[in-house]
Amino acid sequence: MGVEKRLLEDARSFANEVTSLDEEGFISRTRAALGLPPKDSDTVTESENEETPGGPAAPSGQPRQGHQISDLFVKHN
Amino acid sequence: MSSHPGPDKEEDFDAWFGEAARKILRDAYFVTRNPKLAEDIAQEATLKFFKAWGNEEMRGKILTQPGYVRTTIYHCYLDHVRVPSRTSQREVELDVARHDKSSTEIDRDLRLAVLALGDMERDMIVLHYYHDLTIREAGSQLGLSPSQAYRLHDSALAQLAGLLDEGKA
Repeated sequence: MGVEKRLLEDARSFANEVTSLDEEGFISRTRAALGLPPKDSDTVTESENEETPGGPAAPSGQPRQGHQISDLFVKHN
Repeated sequence: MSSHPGPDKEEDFDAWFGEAARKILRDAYFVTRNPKLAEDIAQEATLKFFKAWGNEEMRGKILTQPGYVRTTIYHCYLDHVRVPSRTSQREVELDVARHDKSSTEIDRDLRLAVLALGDMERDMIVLHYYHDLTIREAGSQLGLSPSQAYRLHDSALAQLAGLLDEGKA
């Protein structure tokens, strides 16, 4: 198969896959981890958290378990 | 470089992140094809942008050079899979496979070959094929004239074909 055809097929598959990403959850968790003030849209319910592809539900306003951005601050400083 | 942008810059960062977050996550997913790992990589890259935000020059790069943002995300991924000695294409591939057992239909060889391209070639491929920009639009984002953009696109495809052939050997 030609390179361009492979790219087009992969891009089609990619476009379908990204629709299932939990973008709102990512924004909410990352903003919370950076200590940015919560926004109305950051409110994530328990049931929504259970559905996130990022693993177990995190308490509202907290990063996912196992990935604490504050730890990275310490590591990089 | 400051480790925190300071309260006066936080608001700016927040506004930028609100605009860029989905793109960051999608770019991270492009390299990982694993939702969990994509979020980890996207968060790590966002932390780097947050820390760099207090530096005017770095902030300017983040705001005006989408390629810089993408490259940072890709480097976060490569850092993630890099072994202390050195990372080979095979090691990256094994890591992708480890994280992505469920998606056997994904064209991993192609994805790894795209990542192995030079920054400009890689960005042209990603913008044109995965972000649905025309070659001219992608070239414009990369600061190229239309004729330069077409040349870069052709060169990127040729390099990609070469990398994929090498992979078969």
